[in-house]
Amino acid sequence: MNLLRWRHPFALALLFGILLPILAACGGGSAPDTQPTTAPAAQPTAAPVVGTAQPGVLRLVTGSEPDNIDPQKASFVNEIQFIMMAYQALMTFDLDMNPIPGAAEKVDVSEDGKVYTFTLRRDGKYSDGTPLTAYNFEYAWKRLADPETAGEYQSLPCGIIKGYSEYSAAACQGLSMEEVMKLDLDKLRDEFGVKALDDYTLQIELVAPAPYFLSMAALWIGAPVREEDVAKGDDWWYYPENYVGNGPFVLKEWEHDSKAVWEPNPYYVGPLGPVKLKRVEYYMITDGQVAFQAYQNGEIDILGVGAEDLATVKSDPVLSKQTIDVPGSCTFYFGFNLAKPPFDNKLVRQAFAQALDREAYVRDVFQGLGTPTYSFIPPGFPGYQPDLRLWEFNPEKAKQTLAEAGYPNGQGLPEIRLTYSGTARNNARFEWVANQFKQNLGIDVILDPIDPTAFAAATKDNPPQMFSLGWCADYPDPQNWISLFQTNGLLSARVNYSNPQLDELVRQADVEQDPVRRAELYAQAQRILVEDAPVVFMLNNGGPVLVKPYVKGVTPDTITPIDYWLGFFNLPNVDVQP
Amino acid sequence: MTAYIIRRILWNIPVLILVGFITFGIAKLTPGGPFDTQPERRQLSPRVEAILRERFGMDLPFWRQFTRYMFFDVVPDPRTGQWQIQWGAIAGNLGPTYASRGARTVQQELFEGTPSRPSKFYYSARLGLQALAFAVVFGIPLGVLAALRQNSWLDYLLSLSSTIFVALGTLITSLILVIVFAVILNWFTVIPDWSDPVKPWVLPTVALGSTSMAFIARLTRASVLEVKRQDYIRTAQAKGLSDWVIIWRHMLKNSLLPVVTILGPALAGLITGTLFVETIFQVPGMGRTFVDAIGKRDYSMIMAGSLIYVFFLGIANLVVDIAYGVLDPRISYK
Repeated sequence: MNLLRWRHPFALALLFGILLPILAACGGGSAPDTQPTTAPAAQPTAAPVVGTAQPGVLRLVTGSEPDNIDPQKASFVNEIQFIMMAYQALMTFDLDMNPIPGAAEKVDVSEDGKVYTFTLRRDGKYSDGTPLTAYNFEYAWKRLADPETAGEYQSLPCGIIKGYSEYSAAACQGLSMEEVMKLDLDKLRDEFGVKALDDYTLQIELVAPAPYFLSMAALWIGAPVREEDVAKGDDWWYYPENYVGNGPFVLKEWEHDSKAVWEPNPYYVGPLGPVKLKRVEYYMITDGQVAFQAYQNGEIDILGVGAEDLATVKSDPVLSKQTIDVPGSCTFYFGFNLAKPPFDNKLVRQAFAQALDREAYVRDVFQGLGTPTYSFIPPGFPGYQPDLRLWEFNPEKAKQTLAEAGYPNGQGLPEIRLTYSGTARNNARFEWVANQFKQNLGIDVILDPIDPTAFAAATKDNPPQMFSLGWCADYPDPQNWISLFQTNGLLSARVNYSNPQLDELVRQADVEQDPVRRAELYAQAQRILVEDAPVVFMLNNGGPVLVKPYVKGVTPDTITPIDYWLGFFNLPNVDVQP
Repeated sequence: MTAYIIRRILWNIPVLILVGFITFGIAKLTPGGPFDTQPERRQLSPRVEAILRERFGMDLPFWRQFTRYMFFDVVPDPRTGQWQIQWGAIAGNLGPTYASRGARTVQQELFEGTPSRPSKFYYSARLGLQALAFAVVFGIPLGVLAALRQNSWLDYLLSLSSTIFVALGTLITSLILVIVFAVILNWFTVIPDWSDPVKPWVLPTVALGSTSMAFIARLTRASVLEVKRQDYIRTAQAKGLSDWVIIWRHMLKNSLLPVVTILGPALAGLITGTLFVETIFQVPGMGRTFVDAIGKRDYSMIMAGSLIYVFFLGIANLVVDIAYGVLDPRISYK
């Protein structure tokens, strides 16, 4: 018996077929092939379909699949992206981020600033050709306020629209749903200050003048969903055929967790059209490395550069020429819990603020992704104060301030813990921060990394002594930033901060109709906030985004920090011409 | 045999309840909740969060939340105030997905397809089965081949390559496959087109199946070598039977018993590997959903993940046990 002589050519071929790719991948010789400079010349004919851009087709990555794109319930960036493709609110924004009429043709504001009358475009239609009327908007705003909707942004218009706080009693007044159900909800709904006067006139009454209301009217929260669509079930939005809007695009196909295809809405009227693009494809790619490979392979046209790919992009002769710098809409900061020593002492907070070299933080830790900041409102947004730099990096002054606070050379300070969301990247970042305090103040800060979700929870109920947080713009108005630090505001509550002076300035600014005076009041309030240093502002996001050269109309001059995707508020000029 | 199968299936019920209890306990004990996402971004208003917690019964005591999820609860209708029974996982109701703010249920999310798309379960199940088939179809012949050519260059190459596959693991193998076959060779796209019934499945199947294939090949090799030395093989050779007959009729069947033994654990390995593979190859399956659910503290989805996997593991082990009986008549079940 000669079993050892047994051969099978097919099995051998198979074996090689399996092993070769692995050996090829492990071999050092394949490395140069990964260089983009050699890749295009490698197989011009071998793969005709791979990465082929088509005229008019824009391919984007939206990270994870949007979980809920019901306009009155959604809150996350990728969800809002979808909503604003399909719907157009009463207002929209121009390239200077000023609110301009969207579905409305014009808006009249009463002299006392409390009644907004929107006149809708007569030719406004939904993507199925049915007319869009003021009653659709009335329904949408009432749905937002409806206690049963319980949308994540339901609290945004609290105290602004007449009758809103009474109707949304749970979100605005903290009533339990059991208590809410005992109210006369029909009456409250009728008294709610949003009313269609006729098919084309919508009147919204406010409690007090709110000059930022026009920006709020441009948000997704008031997108005109139709009652007949919503009636199809809680997940009506999950099926493209139900998702009928008045926005610039129509959702044609949604392969969940994979791909969404949009085509222009033939009935769209408004400043975001006419659209040149023939199709927009969103890909739900969660792995940054995979998305980067897809961009390099020509399967995606626009992609934000992640920190891990930054060095590759910068050193690559082709990719480095395809980047544009994009401003962000978020501010990241360290918060001090003012209820816990030593941060109940303003001088200690100021000393900590002076001990941080923000320039080096952005340069060395974030590799230049973003810009250093010393105040809350980011560059490009109304209310940005570039000169408000009270706590610039100055180790000498920092030590002096700490000594004035009663802790010379840090002596006598209680144990200080810096709590943060413990990811591999954050660990390195916060090591750097702790080192700053050690070097510049002589203080040992204990790093306290915890699971990201657990961290978010920890900052609510019993906030840690010192921690990192951030905020991103909902709408471009100082009110969206500064009011968060009013007593019991969404962010001030996290650090137990309260300053009656700031409260008063914000209260005045919120209702001030003279734009110059209003800007002054917010500026004063922001100055107080920075001066009090309940938080140390560190960084505004932003950085390079890869844009294929054949994508037209997407340049630093034609994008805004609040674009839903690059070029969104410049849609008529965006095109793809490979 | 039938009684044995029924008994084994029934035994899965207490196992599922125990696993459910442990998972639920761990999920609830872990700090954070479904409304604590993106700590460095926008924050939810505390009042809105309170409404949502109340809506989903997250303000109830632990035992009530668990029994509501697992078995049933009697709850009032918020509009009419009438009491009604709300069945739990035991009746196939795996709960609302918190990520969708309760607009969709977990069972809809996992088992319901759309006209243009099969369900997430379909994608994961197909990928897992294909990977297992790949591992068996290639692993066994390669193992046999290596054993028959023991100590040859082919045997060494096979040992080396299986070691490499095992060492690389699913994650690294996946990335290598993407870089080599999609980016360098352009044979596949990085972003799969799932309307194609074959192409997008190739790389994830190979990536997921390769580690198991390597294990199976090594085990088969050892097993065949063991059997090759048995007296009955020598007898068969002495009788002048052809190589093929000896291999297929006498050797392979007896060599396969240990291989079948590891199919259950191999399936478990495939399940855990699915998580990476689905993320890297953009497979719209359950694995990605479960991984996301952990980060989002989507409790009912996390629960569903462990219950479904435990259920299928139980079934897989049962199938393996039955396969013993088929392969080895000496094994009987009572």
